[in-house]
Amino acid sequence: MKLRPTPSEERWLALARRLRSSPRTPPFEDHTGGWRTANFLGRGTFFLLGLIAASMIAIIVDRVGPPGALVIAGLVSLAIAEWLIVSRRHFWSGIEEALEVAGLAMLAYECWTHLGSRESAAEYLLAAALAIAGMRLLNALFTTLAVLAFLQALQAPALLEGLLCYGVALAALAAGALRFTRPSYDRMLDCLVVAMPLAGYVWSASPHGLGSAPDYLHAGLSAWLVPSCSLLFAAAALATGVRRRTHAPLVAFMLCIACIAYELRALTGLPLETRLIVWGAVLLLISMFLERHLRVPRGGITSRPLRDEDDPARLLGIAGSAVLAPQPPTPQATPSFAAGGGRFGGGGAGGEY
Amino acid sequence: MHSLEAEVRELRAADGLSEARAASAIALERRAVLSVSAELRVALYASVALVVTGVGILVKEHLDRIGPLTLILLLALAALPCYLPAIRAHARAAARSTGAEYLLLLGALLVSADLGYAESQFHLLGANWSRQLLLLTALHAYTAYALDSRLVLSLALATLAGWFGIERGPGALALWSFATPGLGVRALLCATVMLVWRAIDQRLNAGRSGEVFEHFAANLAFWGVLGWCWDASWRIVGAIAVLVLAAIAIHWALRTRAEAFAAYGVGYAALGLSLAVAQLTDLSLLGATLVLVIVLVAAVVLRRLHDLLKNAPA
Repeated sequence: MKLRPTPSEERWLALARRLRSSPRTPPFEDHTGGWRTANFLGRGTFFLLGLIAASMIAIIVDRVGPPGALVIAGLVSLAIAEWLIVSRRHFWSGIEEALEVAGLAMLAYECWTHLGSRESAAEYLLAAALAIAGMRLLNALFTTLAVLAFLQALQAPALLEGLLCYGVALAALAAGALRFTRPSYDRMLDCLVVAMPLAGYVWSASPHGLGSAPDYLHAGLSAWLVPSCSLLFAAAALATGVRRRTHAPLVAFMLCIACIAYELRALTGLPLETRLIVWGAVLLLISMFLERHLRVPRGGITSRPLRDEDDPARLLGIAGSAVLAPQPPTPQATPSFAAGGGRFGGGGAGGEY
Repeated sequence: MHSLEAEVRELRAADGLSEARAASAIALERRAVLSVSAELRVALYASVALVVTGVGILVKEHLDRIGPLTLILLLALAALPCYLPAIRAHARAAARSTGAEYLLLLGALLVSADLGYAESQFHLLGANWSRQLLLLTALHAYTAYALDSRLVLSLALATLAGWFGIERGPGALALWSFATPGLGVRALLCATVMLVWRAIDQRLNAGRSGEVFEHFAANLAFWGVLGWCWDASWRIVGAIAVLVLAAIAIHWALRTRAEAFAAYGVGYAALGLSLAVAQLTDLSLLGATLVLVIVLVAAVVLRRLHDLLKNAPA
């Protein structure tokens, strides 16, 4: 009885995914141990179905009405998830992940109600449920959420929480140099490298409120800690990403730069529209320059796609430009250019700007 | 940092991979080369979004100070150079760069802003002012075909959906805001127009952009009938319609081997039926059991379809 793919099977599953092949067709089927996975869209759909199924199990058990209904519902969800994994060989299929995490969350909730419903206990229990699900299913999203829930449970001052996030991110960045046999361990670290600096910024900037722009021109040195942390991590991530030629640190770098730009938005004193146009144009020019400059690989980095775009990437590209399209007109007798609303989506052809 | 180089070599030795593909895969596994194409696309998209949002606010805030004619002229002048790299690449029959592609999208969005603003100021279309969206659809469609741009075609289709009164954004896409029979009908009509357009595209353009139409039409149609499933008086019609659409989507998935449509068909059908049952039964014991059965059947069907589509030889 196998509880999950062996490291070797996992590597072949990862290779099949990279080469856009099915792990259950030759020549992969000899190496993947009969495990069944799903692609991004399928996994998302299965995950949604699994969450609905777990909710329905909870409602059914509750309607039948035995005491400790949520424990029974949690155990049933877990049992189905484990059956899907062990007997049906589903792994990274979405449905078993949803049932497993929902089952563990139900058990955690029931434990919490028995512990007197303290807030920090809820966060610790949630972190434990997510960590168990993440390690059992080798799911990077769950392990990252577990770390975030754990840090939230510590209930430390916001700045310290932020620094802890950066610390975890740096540790993950450093651990990325280790050679793992399981590709999923790399994904877990990658996910931490991307998510933790973002969480670090949100946490450390939260005391002054994310919505209000701090006046850095007249602020003390200590106030500069927030953008400085992002900047330092961005530099470390960029250097690591370029040296190791991996995506996650580069994505983290881009996110950190976005955080810094947002944090220092009031520094120039320019109006919002000018900042958006100027910085948008600067970003456009830099991106176009890099795209042109890296057409020939430099230092092993190129702007040319090396693999065919997969479905989700294509769909995101299509959806992305649709999001910017003009908004539909609002019903009105005569057109007017009414100010206010800020619902501009490109054309504003409906007169809603 | 893992490397699957050993597995790639084994696959190559078993004749499971061509020499060229194996060499490229090994280079990637060794991290001898890294493509930042996706990161640059995201940066380009973000820059276009920033500029367009900035222009929107500029138009709104400084309307009085700049003056309509100046603003229209400025927007036109800003849009024009955005088209140039794409036009130049097309004239040379050369491949367009990703940067030029997003610049073209920015140009098209600036033209949208310009025309929308001109119409709001000068009432060029009078009582038929909403037709400006149709004009924009035609203009963007022409640009998309002339310069072979999927991004601009996607913009044209979204503008067409806008003309049908279908808004976007988290609030507008919430199911309850779709729960009006009229909006559902409009979404279905819009999807039908897109499919007719796709058929013409198939005939005249060898269907090179077919996929864009198909995804737009499928999501619009499903979202429209999901709204019906939410509405008390249209619930039965919605449930039947979502099943019919699911059958069409699954048939399409099997015909074209596009797994996304299987996911649409099964996912939306399960969601629509679950919504209808949940509302009818108020999630009583029977209702919850029925929803659970629907979801489990949907999961089994989707898994079968996945196996069928992925495991069948190409």
